Amino acid sequence: MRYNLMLQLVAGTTVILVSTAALFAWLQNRAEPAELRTRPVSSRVVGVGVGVACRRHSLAFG
Amino acid sequence: MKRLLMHSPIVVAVLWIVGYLLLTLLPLLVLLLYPPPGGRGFWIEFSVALGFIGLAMMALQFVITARVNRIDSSYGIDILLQFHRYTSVVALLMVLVHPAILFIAQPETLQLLNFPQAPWRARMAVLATLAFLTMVITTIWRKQLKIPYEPWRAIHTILAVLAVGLGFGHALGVGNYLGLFWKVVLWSGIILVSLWLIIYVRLVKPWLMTRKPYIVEEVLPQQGDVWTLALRPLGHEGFTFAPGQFAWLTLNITPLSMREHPFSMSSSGECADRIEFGIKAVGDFTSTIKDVQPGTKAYLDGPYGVFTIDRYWDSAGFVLIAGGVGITPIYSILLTAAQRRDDRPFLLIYAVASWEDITYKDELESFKENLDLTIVYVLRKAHDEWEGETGYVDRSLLAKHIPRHRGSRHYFVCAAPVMMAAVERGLFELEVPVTNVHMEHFNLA
Repeated sequence: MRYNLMLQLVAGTTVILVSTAALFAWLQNRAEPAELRTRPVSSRVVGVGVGVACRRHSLAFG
Repeated sequence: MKRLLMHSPIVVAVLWIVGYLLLTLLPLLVLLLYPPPGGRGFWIEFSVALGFIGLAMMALQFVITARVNRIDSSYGIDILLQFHRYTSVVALLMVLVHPAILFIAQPETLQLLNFPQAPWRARMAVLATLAFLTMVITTIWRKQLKIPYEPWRAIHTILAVLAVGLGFGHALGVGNYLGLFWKVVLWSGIILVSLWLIIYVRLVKPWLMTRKPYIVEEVLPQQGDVWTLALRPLGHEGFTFAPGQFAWLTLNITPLSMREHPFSMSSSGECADRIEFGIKAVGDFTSTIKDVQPGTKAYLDGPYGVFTIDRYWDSAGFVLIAGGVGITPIYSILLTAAQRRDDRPFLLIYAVASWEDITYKDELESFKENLDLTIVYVLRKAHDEWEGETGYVDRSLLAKHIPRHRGSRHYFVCAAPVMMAAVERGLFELEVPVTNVHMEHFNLA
């Protein structure tokens, strides 16, 4: 019974891990907002953070 | 209030799980800071994320199995090892799904399986995956594959180090997410800590143990094909322990050989200068105990385990349920309680094959002089004059003997897995609170 409970616990944590992997993929792969694509290059490098950091790189390599 | 919360098994479990998830996911999520360019598609990024999570889970396995007392003391080593087994399978699935998605999303990556022509980063991935797969297969089906315990442990350690080391080498070689120096430092730190833990457990700790040797004082036969192995510390004070705990025993060889075996102590927890183990001859190693000569050197790593009444000082009493050699830790609990003149009621339900198989019978009866102890023997094969319990420890037998106020006691069960499962089910059906039931599998391997 304890092991069944733990199996359910591990199943639950696996769902969280896989969901986070999907979130990671979505964040890394999401399309840039149209307004950012049309702005001049110099105005796009602002702030620090996950979302902004993604834009910085799409700027650099885009 | 804080103390009450920290003693609740549910609160402690939630904290550990949250900690585990954070340790697994944070190294992945920091990769989103200053990430490489996107646009490779959702499935490629999803596959990469699964690879990193799998690698982090693999590295965390070293922490789970490092015998860190602070971690073990929450739930016990057998629960942790079971968690280790389940999460290893999950990690393996992630590691296998990681390339599978790549092969489907970008079929040209199948060329990376051409080992002689593939780049090193791909070769390392293949070797890491094979090492991990072999490790899981040889662990789950060890007995069916007839791999002896001692070589299996050595192979398990080597494959684990190879899988994590090569897996990390693969991530470094690809370099897409580990292109920044500080990210390499962060992930290298995680991998180095995990590798240090295995070096500590397999090399440093055994070396420290060589400085605290023990000597076999005597080997005494007991009823039920059980042998008492008595050890005396040599040149040091030994250790005291909470009755019911166990230690890893290395006999007649250096502890660096990784040929150690877990056994419950059967002596009093307060007697540091003579530590005894009750060992039943059931396997290759245990069958040789009877031939061990006094004067043989031994080494102990312990004490470990949470199967002890010392954690429940405010319990109104205890119900102890033993099957066969599972009596060993329970005997230690009763012996220590008798020496302490514990005034709480103890009920011992002791299941054995026959009257002749009852281990420590005279000693158990003698405890009644100093303890409020009731013993119920349950014999599978009873002689004609036997008027006590027969058969198996099931719900009806438990209902007849355990106190009416179920939650007023803590219940300790140590037996073969089949009996443990039956007793656990019976106690649950009798509405014994789950948090009051404590179990220990005496076969951790």
